[in-house]
Amino acid sequence: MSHEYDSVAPPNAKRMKTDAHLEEKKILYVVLEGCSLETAKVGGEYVILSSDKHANFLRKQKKDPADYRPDILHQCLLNLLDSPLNRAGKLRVFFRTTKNVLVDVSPQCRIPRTFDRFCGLMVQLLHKLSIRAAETTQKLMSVIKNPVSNHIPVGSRKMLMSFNVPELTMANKLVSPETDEPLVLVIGGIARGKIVVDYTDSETKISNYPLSAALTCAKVTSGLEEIWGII
Amino acid sequence: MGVGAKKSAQKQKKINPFELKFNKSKHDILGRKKGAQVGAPTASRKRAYEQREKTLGVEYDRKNKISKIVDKRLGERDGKTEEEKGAMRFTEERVKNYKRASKFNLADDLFGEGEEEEVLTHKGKSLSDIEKYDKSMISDSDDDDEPGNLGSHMVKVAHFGGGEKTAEEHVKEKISREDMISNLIAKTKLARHEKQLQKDELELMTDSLDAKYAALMGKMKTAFRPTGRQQLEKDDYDKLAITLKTEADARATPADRKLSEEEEALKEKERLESLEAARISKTNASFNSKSHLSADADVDIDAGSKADIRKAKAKNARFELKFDDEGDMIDEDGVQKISILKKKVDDDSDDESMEDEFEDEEEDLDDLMEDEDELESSEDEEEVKTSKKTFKSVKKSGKTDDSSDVPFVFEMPKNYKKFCALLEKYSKSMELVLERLVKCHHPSLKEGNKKRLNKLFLMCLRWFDDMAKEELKDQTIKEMNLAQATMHDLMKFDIQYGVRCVRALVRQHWKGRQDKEKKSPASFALISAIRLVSGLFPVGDSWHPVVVPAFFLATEALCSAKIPSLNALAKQIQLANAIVEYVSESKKYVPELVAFARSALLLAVTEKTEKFSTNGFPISKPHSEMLCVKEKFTGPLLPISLSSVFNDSTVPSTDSSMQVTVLRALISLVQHLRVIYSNQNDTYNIVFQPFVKTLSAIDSEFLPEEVKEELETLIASTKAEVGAKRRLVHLSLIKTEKSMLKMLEPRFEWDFDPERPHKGPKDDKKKLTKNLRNEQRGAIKELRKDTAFLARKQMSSVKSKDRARIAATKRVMGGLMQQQGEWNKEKRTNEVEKKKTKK
Repeated sequence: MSHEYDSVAPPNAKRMKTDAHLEEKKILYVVLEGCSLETAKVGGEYVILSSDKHANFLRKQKKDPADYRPDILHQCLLNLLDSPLNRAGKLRVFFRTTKNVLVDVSPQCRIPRTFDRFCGLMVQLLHKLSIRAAETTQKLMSVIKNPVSNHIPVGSRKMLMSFNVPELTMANKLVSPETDEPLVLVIGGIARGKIVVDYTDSETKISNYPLSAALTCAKVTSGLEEIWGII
Repeated sequence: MGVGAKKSAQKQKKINPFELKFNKSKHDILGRKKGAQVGAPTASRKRAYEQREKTLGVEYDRKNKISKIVDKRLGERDGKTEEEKGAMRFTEERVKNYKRASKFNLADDLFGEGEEEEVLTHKGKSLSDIEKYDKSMISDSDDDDEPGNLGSHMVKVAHFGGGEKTAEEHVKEKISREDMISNLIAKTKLARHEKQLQKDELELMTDSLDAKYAALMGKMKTAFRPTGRQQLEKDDYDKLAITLKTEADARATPADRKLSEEEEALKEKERLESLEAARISKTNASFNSKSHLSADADVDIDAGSKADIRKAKAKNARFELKFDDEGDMIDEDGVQKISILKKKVDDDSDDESMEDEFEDEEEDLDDLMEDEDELESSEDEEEVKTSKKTFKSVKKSGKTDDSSDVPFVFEMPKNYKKFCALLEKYSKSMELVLERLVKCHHPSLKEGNKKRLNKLFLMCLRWFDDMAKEELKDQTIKEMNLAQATMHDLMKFDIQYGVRCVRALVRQHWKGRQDKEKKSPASFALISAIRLVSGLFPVGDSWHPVVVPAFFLATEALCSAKIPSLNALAKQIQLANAIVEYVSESKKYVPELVAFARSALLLAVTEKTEKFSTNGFPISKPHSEMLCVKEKFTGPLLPISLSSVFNDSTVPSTDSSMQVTVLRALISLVQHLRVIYSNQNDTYNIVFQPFVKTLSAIDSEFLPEEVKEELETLIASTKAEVGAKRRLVHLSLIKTEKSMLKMLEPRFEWDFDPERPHKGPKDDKKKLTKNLRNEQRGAIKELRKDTAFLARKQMSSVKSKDRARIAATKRVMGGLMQQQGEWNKEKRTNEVEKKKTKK
C-alpha cells in the first residue's frame, strides 16, 4: 500500500506491482445505467435539464419532461458514496447517461449535498470531461470510454437489478461471504421502465416491491456491508 | 454574402444534392445555436474563382503593359481663359527660376548680371512702353472733404471734355482759366461754410431740447413714485440679524469660566465663610427673638441652650481666629499663657521640627506623634481645659447635634487631643467636619496651610491607629473608614509626608512583632494598618517605599504566628485576605500565602494521608484538627464577625458554628488564590495539585449544604483548571480510529463557462496561438489558391496562343502544300507535254 493513504486506499488507487497479493478482491462495482444527465443552454445559461425546472423548455423542444430526472442520479450517488462500504474502500461507481456518456466516479469524491450544486458540478463535468479535487489534482470524476465492460473486472459476476424477474435474492445474500471475488451490479437510474444492457449475465431483484434507484443502492450497499463485515 | 446569396439561391432553385456536403454534429446540446449543417463546396469554389477573376485576373492581364499619355500642359483641361492660363504659366516660370539666394535681391534683376533683364510684356509689347501713356490714378471717391480733390463734375469736364457741347458750355468755354479756378475755390468755400452752419444748427437744437426736457421733468417730479432704495426704520429683528452677521467671527465668552485649582479653593472657602456668617446671624436672630416666639416658629424646647452653645462656639471661633501664624495665641480674655515645657522642648516653629524629622527618618509613629504633641502642648495646655469644658458641654447636648449645626469654617486643631475633642463634639457629622477642615486649609489659601494639613494627616493616622487598638465596634470601623478617606484626600497635598508617616506606623508594628508579639496572631491594628496601606498607596507597584515594608510585615505575621485557637486562625485568615488584596492586581506569587492556605486546609482533614507537616505556620498537635466539623451544624451561615474574632473572648475550638464559618472563609480564600494564580501556566499545577487532594479529603458529612456546595465547586473548578494546564502527558497506546477513505471535495468553479471550459491565463495565450496558426494556415491556403489560379490562367493563355499558332502554321502549311501540289501538277503536265512534243 502506498504511503499516500494512511488509512484506506481507494480501489482505483495505483499500486506497485509487488503489492498484488494485497489487492482487494471484495469490491462491489455499481453501474448506474440510463441516468438522465443532459446539459442544455436555457436562457443563455448551461444547465442540467430537470423536469421541474425546465418543463416549458423541454416542451418547446418536444421532449417529455418526465424523462429528465437528474435528481435520481444525485440521490443514488449520495447513497453510494456515503455508505460505509465506500468508506471502507470496497465500492466503485460508474454511471452512464442516456446520451451514452460513461463516467467513472472516484470513491473519494464527496458529492455536493445540494441538488443545485450537484447540477453545477455535472455541467462542469460534461463540458470539461473531468472533475478534480479542490486541493489536489486528483481526478474525482472523469468521462471514460465506452463500453463499461472494459472497466469492470473480467470474469466477474454481473447482475442487473430489475423488478420484472422471478428470481429474488436478499441484499445480504448477494454473494457468499467466503468467495473472494468482485460483484458488478447494474442499477437503472430511471424513474420508470426497464433497462437493457448486453454485458450482464443474470437479472435479479432484492425486493418484491418496485424500489427506487436510490433505495436499491442503499439496500445493496448495506447488504454487502453485512456480508463483508463492514460495521 | 447576405442578400446576394439569397438572390442566387432563388435563382438556382435547387442545388444538386451530390454537390452538398453534410456536417455531422457530435454533441448535440439543446438550446445551443448550431453552426452550418450543410455546405456547398462547389458553389463556394466557383464564387472564389469569380472573385479572383475580378481582382487577381484583372491585375494579371495588365501586367507589363505601360503606355499612357500624360497631358502636362497648364490649365488646358480645366477650361480656363487665355489670360488665366498666361498667369499660371507666369507663376510656374517664376517658381521654376526661383533661387533661394535671389530672395535678398532688392532690384528686379532676378537673373543676375549675366542674363538679360526680365521684361514684362502685354500682347507682345513691353509693359514699360505701354505705361508711358498711363496717368496716375485719381481717387474715385466722392469725398469732398479732402482738400485738393476736385469734384466729379469738374473732373469730368476737365479731363473728358469734348464731344457735343451745350449752349451753356459754349459760354463757359470762353471763361478764362484763372476765372475758372477762382470760381472753383469760391464754390468749395461756400460748401464748407454751409456744412459748418448745419452743424451749428444741429447743436443748438439739441441744447434747446435738453433744456425743455429738464423743465418738463422738474414739473413732473412729484407725480412719480420715488425711485432707488429708501432708508427703512430698523426694528429689533433687523438689529439682531445685523449683529449676528457682523459678529459671526467674534468668539463667545464663556458664561462660566473653568476655574483654576486655587481659585476654586478660594471660592469654596468664601462660600463656606459666607454660609457660616449667615448661620451665625441666624442663630443670633433666633437668640434675640427668643422672647417673642411666633406660633409657627419651629423651635425646639432646648433651642435656648443650643443657641447658647452656638454662641459660645461662635465666640470660640472668633476667639480662635486670633491665633497668628506662629501658633501663638493672642488671648483676648486675658487668660495667662502658661507654657509647660516637657522634657525635650522644641520651641521653634514647625519648620524646624519638620527639618529634623527629615533628617532622622527612622522613627516610629509614636515618636512622630510625640514630637508634634510636644510642640502643641507647650502652647495649648490651657486651651485643652477650655476645650474640655466645651467638650463636656457638648457631651451634654451633643446628641442633639446634626449636620446643619456644624460650622462651615474650622480652625485647625492644635494637637491631637483637640482634634479628638473636635471630632467628639461633632460625632455625628465627622465626615463633614473633616471635609470642611481640609477645604478651609487648602494650601493655596494661605502660607503654612500645607503644614497644617500635614499635621491633620498625622492626627488622622494616629486617630486611625488608636481606633484600631480600641475595642472593636461598628462605630470604630466607620470612623476608621472616615479617617482613611480623609488621609486619602490629604495625601494629594503632600505625598512625601504621608509616606513618611505611614512608614513610621509600619515600622512601629514591625518593631512590635519583633519582640513581644512574635508568635501571636495578627491583631486588628496590624490588619487595619495593612489595609490602610493598600487603600492609600498603589499596591500593584513592584517597588514602593510603604507598600513593600507593609507587605513584608504582613507575610511575616502570617507565617510566624502560632495558631492555638480558631480565633487565631480566623485572624490569620483576615490577614491573608488583606495580603490577597495586595497581590490581586500584580498577581505576584506569595509562597507564604499558599503555604498558609494549605496548612489551614489540612486542619480540616481528619485522616491525613501524608505526614502532617505545616510549613505554613507552627502548630501544636492538639490543635491540628480544629477545623474538622464533627457534628451537624444547623444555623444561619454568617461571615466571620470581626468583633467576635478580635474581642478577646476565646471561643472553644469545638464550636461548630465558628468552625463552619472559618472553614467557609478559608474556602473563599483558596478560591481567591485559584483565580489570582490562574494565569501562571507553568507553576499552576505544582501549586494547586496538592490543594485538590486536600480539599477532596475534607470530610463534608456534617457541613451545611451551602458550604458543601462551595467546597464542591472549588474542587471542581480547581480540578478543571489543573486538567487544562496539564503539561506532562503520559505515554499510552494511541486509540486507533476507524480507518476509512478520505473524502475529497470536488473543485467547483463558480464562474464556469461551458463555452470556454478551459478558461484561464494559460488558455488566453493558447487561444491566441491557435488563432494565429489558423490565420496563417488560411493565408497560406489562399496564397496557394492564388498561385494556382494564376498558373492556370497563364497556362490557358499559353495554350490558346499555341493553338492559334498551330492553326496558323497549319493554314500556312496547307496553302504551301496546295501550292506545291499545283506546282507539281503543272510540272507533271509540262513533262507530259514535253514528251509528247518530243515524240
